[in-house]
Amino acid sequence: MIRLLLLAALLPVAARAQLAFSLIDGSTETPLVSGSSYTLRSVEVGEELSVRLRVRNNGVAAVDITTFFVDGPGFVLERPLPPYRLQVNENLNGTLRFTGTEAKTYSATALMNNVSVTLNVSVVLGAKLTFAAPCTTNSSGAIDFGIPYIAQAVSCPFTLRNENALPVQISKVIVAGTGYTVQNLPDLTSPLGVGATISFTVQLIPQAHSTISGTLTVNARNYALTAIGVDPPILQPIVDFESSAYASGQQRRVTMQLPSPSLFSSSGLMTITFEPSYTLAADDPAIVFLETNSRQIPFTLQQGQTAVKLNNSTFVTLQTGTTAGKITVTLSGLPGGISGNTFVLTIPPSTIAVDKTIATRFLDRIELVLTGFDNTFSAGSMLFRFYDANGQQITAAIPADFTLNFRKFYVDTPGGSTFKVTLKFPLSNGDVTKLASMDAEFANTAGTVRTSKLTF
Amino acid sequence: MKLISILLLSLSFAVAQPAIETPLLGYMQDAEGSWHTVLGTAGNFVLGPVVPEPPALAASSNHIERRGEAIYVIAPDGGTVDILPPDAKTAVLVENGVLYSTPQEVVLRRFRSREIHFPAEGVTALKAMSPEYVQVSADRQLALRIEDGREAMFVLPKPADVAPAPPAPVRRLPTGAPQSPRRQRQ
Repeated sequence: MIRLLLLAALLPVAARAQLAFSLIDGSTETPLVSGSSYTLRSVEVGEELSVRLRVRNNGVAAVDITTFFVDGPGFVLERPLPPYRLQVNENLNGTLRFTGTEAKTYSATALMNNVSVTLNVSVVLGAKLTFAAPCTTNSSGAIDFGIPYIAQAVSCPFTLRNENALPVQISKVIVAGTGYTVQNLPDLTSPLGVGATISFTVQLIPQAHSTISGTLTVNARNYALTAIGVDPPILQPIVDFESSAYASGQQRRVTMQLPSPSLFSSSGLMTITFEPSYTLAADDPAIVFLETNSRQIPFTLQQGQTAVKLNNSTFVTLQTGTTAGKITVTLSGLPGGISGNTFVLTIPPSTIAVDKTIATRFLDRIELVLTGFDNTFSAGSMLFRFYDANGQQITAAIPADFTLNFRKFYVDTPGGSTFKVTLKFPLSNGDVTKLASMDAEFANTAGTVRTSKLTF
Repeated sequence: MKLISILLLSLSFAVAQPAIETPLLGYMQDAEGSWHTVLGTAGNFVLGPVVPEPPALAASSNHIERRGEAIYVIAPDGGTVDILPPDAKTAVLVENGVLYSTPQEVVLRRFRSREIHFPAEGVTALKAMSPEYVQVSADRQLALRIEDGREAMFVLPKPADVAPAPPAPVRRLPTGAPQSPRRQRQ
């Protein structure tokens, strides 16, 4: 009988021993020992403190939770109403919320079955935090920076106002979280007077397309920050080289714009490379942006604008040279969200371009000087006809082939196909006084070009 | 027929070996005063090396005088050939005419003939490059082709920065043909 009485007396002790009672604040779990006092982190007047109280059954049999409450001003425990049968290894969680209305220490008694602990919270004066657009408060109470684009800064203005009857010392205003920074924070040396305010900015530059969490801490009080970073819409730069057909010997005006205002201010380079169609032409130094006399031109984007400045101007001039081939224009240094950065201008083979011809009769010869270019590097085949004053042809067509001469010229003077050729026709026989004009044909692999009649 | 045969015979066998060279369009002066050869063809310019000051070009026996705010073209005998508009800022004589700039454009005025206007803002200087081209200095360097019927404005390559050269005197374009008065240009 005595044994039974002893066993009955020890049963509550055994049950208590197999129940673990703890307090969880954030990621920190603190075991609660019956008869002890615990101080929770301090909060400001009006700030809600939320922690969890957990009961865990570590024993080998189910235990009935008959008592589970917290009693004290400002404390509220949200939990399943007892009695509750807690199975082996099962947790029973309650959420303990506290809000203090005065700057003082508040106390409460937490009772779980026959485990009793005292909880203390120190409430201090604080400044009221407000913020403005573009930030909002989301459904979880966090300060929401919205859905900003990656790498695009979004800033929210914040204000701290002392609405207490006593000055408040603001000792710390910091943020944690990737991409968040505090800016324009004034000196915090002096206490914030009654009714006084201080303003600052929190800026977020998203680094990743995901939820971006952060924390703003003012003294000991934390405010959750959140945002969702997303990729900006893709912008395809519009580079215009003028609409006419590409050919050698041109100067083309190049402009660049974006289909919608740029999200960034940025700069980069427009670069051209050239691939000639003929092995005789290793390159063509005339293919350049004339404003820099090089194959690179800087460009700048201004946030909010569609027009792109090229070499700090609204346009630049691309010279197409005198060699058939492909001119590739590449944009580099573009910020994220802008793509489509290569453009190809194909310069087709063409007949010999005649820039200028002068035919002159001297006492002993007729001289023809022709300036032009041959973007196929195959010039040399020629045909000449002479006419009298009435325009009647008085010679048969006179052929000539100077292909090797031109080839040697191009090999010896690499870079482009411009040439000035002087052709001499000695007048040693016959009655040459009837000669009044001539014309000439120049052929290359792309075809034949014929001059108008050249009078001398 | 006999004559034609003789001509044909003499000419067909007399086309001498050609001389081929890179065409020289003229000379341009950079912001530092150095002279550069300009090679190529219209619309395809390549700068050659820096050269000493090229020989002066004489475009006309006339000369330009600035009288107050006005620019006059004066004949050798002292007579007035032309008075440029009040907004003319700078001028250079060209063959049988004058080229001048206003705040908005460059005007090629042929004496007793037509005017051709080329949009060009902020022109600060006009310099003869050759009998056929004039360098127009504005926010970029331009080349105006002034041959009759071939008038056109082009962009010149920007010269690389070079050491400054001594200032050059006023240059004028030559009068008349360089080789023969009987010539035909295409």
